[in-house]
Amino acid sequence: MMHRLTTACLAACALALLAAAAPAAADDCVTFSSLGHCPVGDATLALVDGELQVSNLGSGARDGVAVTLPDVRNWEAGVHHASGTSAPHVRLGALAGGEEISTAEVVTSGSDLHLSATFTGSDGPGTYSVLVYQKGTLVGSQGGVGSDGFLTFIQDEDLFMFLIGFYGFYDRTSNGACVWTFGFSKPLPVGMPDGTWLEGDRIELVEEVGEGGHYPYAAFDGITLRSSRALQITSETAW
Amino acid sequence: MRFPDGFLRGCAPALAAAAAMMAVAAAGAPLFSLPPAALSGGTATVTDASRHAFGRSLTNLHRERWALLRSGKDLFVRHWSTPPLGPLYNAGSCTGCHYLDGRGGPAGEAPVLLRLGIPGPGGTLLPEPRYGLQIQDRAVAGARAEGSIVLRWEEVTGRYPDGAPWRLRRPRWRIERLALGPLHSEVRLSPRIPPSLVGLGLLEAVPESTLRSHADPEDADGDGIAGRLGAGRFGWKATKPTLLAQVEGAMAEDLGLTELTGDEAQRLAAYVRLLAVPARRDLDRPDVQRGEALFRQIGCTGCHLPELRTDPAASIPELSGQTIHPYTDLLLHDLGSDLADLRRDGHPDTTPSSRAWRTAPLWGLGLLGTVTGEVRLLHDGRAHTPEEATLWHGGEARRAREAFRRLPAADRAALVSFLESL
Repeated sequence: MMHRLTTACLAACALALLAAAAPAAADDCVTFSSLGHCPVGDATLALVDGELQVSNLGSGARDGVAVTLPDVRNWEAGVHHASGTSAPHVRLGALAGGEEISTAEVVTSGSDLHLSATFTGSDGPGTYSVLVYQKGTLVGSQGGVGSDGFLTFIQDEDLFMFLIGFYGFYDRTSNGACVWTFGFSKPLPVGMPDGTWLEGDRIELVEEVGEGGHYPYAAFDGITLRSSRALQITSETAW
Repeated sequence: MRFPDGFLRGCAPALAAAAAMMAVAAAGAPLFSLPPAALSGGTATVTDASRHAFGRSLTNLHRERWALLRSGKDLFVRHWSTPPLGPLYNAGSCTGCHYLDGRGGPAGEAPVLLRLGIPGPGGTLLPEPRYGLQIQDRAVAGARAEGSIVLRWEEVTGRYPDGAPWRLRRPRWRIERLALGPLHSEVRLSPRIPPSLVGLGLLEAVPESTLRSHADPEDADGDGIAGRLGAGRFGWKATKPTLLAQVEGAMAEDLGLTELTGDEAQRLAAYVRLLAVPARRDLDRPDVQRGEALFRQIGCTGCHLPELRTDPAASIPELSGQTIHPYTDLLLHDLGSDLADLRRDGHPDTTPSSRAWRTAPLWGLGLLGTVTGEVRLLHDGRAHTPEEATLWHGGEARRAREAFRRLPAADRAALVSFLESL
């Protein structure tokens, strides 16, 4: 089973919305886990019982939270989405110098969810590898995934109990590739871009670094997390 | 490894590392579909025309040098603290003046240095007795900066022969709060904006014999252009013979990093050496093509050479045997009194060394605004556009400048379009 879905249009639209988002007022921002968080779009932030609640999120993953980071190479957060009736849509962005350098996005496609990523390190269209783990063991992988490739998930509420990570540059790979990771509370069926199905509890989307012409990002200084459903950030760290 | 609270963390297994290191062929495909004239850096050219255009690795970079480039990048973006920074300095990091490998600061600011010198024997310049080679306008806690540089602009206006107006701005420099007393009565002041980092590795690989072949210090051919070799080929005055020397000078004089004992300078020089050159753009536009022809016709290529070839035996294979299009002869030329270094009273100095400048490479010119957010040209950044920069040219370039002024407006615009395609 081969899926073809162009995510470039979605990404372009999302980028346009990113550019159009009004800057948050300083008093709307909160500090959580020693990191600054500001609302994006119509979102509201609140610290409740030691967690950061992000609510008032509309459809289309236009609203969410922006995390300010002190030039780090790694970021990780535990995220729990509320159940709801709106079509799931999550969009993550990693920023350097105020510019989005990588994205990961979950969109609804019929009864499925599609997960894809973009990276800007390559001079020209870049590709990434997908790695699927089960209890810490690699169970399958696929390389050379382009901008039109994606993973498929059957819609499941547990999908939205994320452990999300963005690991840049050195700590995760030997050549400075950027990596998005998603960890789930239970093993889930994962449809690979080539149509095969695996089961895993953690996904890594690893930028493929061609070295020649590649941009040597040294750090990133922000993460944006947009969603169509209210969420709580239960923990967060950056280093 | 699973953490008790349900978090998952793990180390990238060998398979993941291997998958992540797959070579990407896509970057090469668009490059080799470009015409040769677009490959400004030969096979080291990248096609990126974004804010990151100046910061990519050589397209033909050998895999084993990627770690070296990343190592140098780490130093390039480091914000130095004390020690070893200071006690006196001009910037706290390389990116403070070369943000995104360009020629400005992170907030779009326009850093400028004020180099100093007093006449020495044989036309040389010696350090100013109290302040040395440049005014260092920042200091660590407990130390006192040497002074602060104040700049104001004077508008200069005129008209082309066809009646169209032009407007330039002349900088007027002043140093306030001199910490060690007045400057030497014969001091020469030389304002300098950050030089371009584009293609420095390739320029370093051009054989010395090539530079000598283009030099004509006595203007033996009578074309009015008398390029001469400098002490080196790097820097606004061609004083540094190698990229390493240029980097060492910047580290010591601009960052005040005089006590480093490791290989930081070599790593930084390697990083800059391994940066790619962005491809030319818009070659098929008629106005760009017209402008390129005019650039030759009116004599600009007398100094801004369109093509050079690197040494086939260059120490870094990626840089060897490349046909490049930097638009420079890397020689010193007299550019006239308007662009000369200044005396203490602010007036132009008349000595040959004050009027001489190394031909600035023009590759990457059209992307300066994209990368840096602001276009600042000539040694002191007085020109905001290629047109302004051209109108300031004097001395050996006076003939070409006058030819530019006499062009019809459409041709002047075409020549500017050509420059912006570089």
